[in-house]
Amino acid sequence: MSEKKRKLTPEEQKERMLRQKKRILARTRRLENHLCGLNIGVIVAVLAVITLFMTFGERPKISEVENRDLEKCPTFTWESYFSGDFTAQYAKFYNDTVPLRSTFKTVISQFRANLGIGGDSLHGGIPDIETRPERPPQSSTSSKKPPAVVIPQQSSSSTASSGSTPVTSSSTTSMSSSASSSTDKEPVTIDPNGGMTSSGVLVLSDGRGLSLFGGSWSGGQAYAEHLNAYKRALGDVNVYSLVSPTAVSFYLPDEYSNMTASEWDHIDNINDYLDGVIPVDAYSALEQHTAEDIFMRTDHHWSSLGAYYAAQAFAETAQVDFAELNDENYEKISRDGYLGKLYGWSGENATMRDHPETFTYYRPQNEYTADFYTQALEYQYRGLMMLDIDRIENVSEWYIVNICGDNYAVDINTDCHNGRRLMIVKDSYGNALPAFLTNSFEEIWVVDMRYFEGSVTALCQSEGITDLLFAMNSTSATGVNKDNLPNIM
Amino acid sequence: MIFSSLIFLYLFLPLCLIAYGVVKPLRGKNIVLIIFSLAFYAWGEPVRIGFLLLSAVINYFVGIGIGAVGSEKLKKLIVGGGLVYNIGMIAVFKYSGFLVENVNALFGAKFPVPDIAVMAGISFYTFQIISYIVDCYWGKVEPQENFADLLLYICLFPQLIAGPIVRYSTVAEEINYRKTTLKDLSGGLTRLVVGLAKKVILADQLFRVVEDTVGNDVGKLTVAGTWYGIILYSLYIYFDFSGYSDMAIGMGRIFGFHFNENFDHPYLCKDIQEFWQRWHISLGSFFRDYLMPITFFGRRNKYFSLFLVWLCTGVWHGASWNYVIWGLYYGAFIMLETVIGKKRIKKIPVVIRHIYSKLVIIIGFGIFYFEDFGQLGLFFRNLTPLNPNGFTSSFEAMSLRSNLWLILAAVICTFPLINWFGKMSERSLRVKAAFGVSGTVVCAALLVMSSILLVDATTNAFLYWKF
Repeated sequence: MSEKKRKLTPEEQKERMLRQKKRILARTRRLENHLCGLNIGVIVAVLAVITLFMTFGERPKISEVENRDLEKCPTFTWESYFSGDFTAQYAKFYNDTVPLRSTFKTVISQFRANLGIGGDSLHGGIPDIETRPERPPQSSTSSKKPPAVVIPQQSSSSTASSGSTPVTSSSTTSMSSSASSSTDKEPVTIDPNGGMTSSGVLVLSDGRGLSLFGGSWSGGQAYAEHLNAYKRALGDVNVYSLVSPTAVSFYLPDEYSNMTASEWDHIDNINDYLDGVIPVDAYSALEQHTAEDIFMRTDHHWSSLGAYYAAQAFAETAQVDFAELNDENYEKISRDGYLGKLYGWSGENATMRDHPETFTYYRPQNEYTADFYTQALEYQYRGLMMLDIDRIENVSEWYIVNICGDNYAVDINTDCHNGRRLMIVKDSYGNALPAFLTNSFEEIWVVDMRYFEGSVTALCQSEGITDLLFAMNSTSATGVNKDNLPNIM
Repeated sequence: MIFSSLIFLYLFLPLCLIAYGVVKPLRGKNIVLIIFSLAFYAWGEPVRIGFLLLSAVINYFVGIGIGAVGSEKLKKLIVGGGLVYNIGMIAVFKYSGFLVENVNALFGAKFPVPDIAVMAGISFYTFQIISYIVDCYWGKVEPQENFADLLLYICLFPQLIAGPIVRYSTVAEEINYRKTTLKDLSGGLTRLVVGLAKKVILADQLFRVVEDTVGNDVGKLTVAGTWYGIILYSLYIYFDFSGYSDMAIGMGRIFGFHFNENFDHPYLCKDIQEFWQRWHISLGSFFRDYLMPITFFGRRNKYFSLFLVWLCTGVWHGASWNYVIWGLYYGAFIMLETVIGKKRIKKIPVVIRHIYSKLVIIIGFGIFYFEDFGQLGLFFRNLTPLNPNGFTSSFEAMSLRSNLWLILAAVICTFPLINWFGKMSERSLRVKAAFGVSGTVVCAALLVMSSILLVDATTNAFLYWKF
């Protein structure tokens, strides 16, 4: 015992401390090795699992939300390899077709939604906003009255026109001549979404998406001049301009007003330059109903209800009867869970995803037929004017219930006999209008200004059109899409 | 191919690691690395890989030539020839269009402007080659007699495209004598994941905000919006480039190479000289070591050397005048600090030095960002009360709200967190174990999250790729 309690000599103390240090060092090294092993094991395991998942997981072929085919695996050729196309395409394919892609996209949108403290968010940039140029003194709205609507006399010949007869091969032949009359076309870059994809999408905290509007004053003037040319070519035909505002005009909080141009001002600018063309004030008609769902919250289109109010404004302007929106005149069809195009454009914004909306549309109850034509006006088939929503697989595409989407040309014949025949030259906004005009016109031609390749004026003349309506949103009217109007004149 | 892509991380890298692990002798491992490095380069440059190989062959013989001849004059001639060739390659593949455009503008000439796309990584690997032949000439390193070994140094894929600019002397020994320890593998993997996370979780997300601000139309921004945008750009460029360097250094360690650090928390600097000791260190040290010693008419002039270094730093970054101005801008501040002197600068309160250095850096990145002089002019105007768009708008407030955590995380990550945690973990073995396990869990989470984010990668090319 006494020996144990004996004081250690300095050498012994030094040796003991050294031993202790060595022990600690050895323990530290052992721990470090364990930790390194654990770290390597875990990271390599994660890398291996993801590698196996990426290699053997089933790769999707389409994206429903984005409504597109995903990239395809390229075929190897030496030519494509040396041009760099093969490697670039393969990298795109590899990245675009990740197994469980849509699930990961949802995780990404959730991640991005949590990068801040919530609230509103902007996806994409603020559009260029030009200052309005000085108005020419002679063209102020107050000094110019819109022309009066010419109401044709109802005659027996009008009721026996091609509108009420079934489509035959002879009618197809006569229309083909209308198609060939358009020459010297300027190449135009068409934007299926009316240029809206190039603007930012503002998502409000309640899940409403708003496509910001830039507009172009000179574009609006050009649009008006194109319509004036139509009027000059068609003489007595009533030509109307219905430029629809979008949701941004009515639902943008005041604090963000500097992020968008005024659609009201741009429509006013267009009306300033119209000559002989009758403006339809859809803006004011919609403005009275902003408490109702007149625009989709997750899509860039108006709702069927919004289109109804615009159609009502047009009917009043054109001085035709208009069927009220009630159960007698329309069948109301609604489906929940709608997430439209704005949801995709916003990078699948999580706030929007958490607020899907109800999609409602109205099927007119009177009698009508709808015949579909190719871009060169060759008869295709008789189809449905209003598609059955339950037959549309992709939820984001529900808006195509209206005349089955963006068709080149559709001829709708109704049971209304008033001698008025309408042609609508439109973008996708115009698709929702015919449903509310089947009680107002005996024939309605619907021509898509972006894809049609025939001659609108020739078709108007051959079909005895009495009213020509240009119906589109403000971005189409002031942006690239209006450039195609001279080509289809 | 870029590091922050799924195809690199989950196709190229696993194949490379498996092949590297399967082959046992070091020479075989080197061959594996050469094959994968050439495949990596050929993925993006399937034809012009020929120029990379040509450079390797020519500079191999330049090195051999320097070692073989005894005469100083001949050595000078050989190294001079090598330099002319290497600088000529950069001039042709990076600056020819810019040079002809400026000659045309200056003399009213109408020479056809060559449309040659910049070769990926040419500035990085050519500078490595230059350091090799100059070091051979100076006798700092022995010329490499084995072509495969020199080729490995030049084309090693972790540092091939965007640096760091690795000196031959740093890896010369490791080419033939290296071992990947457990610590190397663990540290390398961690570094790879941290770099990936910096790039994908921070830089790519910041870039989305930058695009919406200064990237959209700087002329429309308010004063606050312009500052907000360019501050975020400064954060973005740091995480983008240092993330790449981390991945490169990490992969180097996995293969047993120990590259020098390229970034050392540059935003902690208190003056501009310190900033450049912490930012893109491999480029700064390259110019310091290879450009500063140049004499003019037999004399060294400190200020002329500084001017040359910063002119070259600017030009190196790109064939556009804004980069030249950016380089000279830094040169001017460094000259100013040199004139004032370190002792006097240190007497200035630290807070003021921090504010000064951050202002210079942030405004500098504005010059760096805008290649268009019209936009650059608007940028400068909009930083000041001359901005016609007002001081602030709801846009900045909204953007800040919806990215607050991201921005806070980015600012916090400019500090040396890993070093702090490392020091804290030294307190006891228990703390060390806790930190170690937590670090692994965080790394795994970062890897998973980064990989998921890469599914949506559309704007993820590294900025320095084009340099």
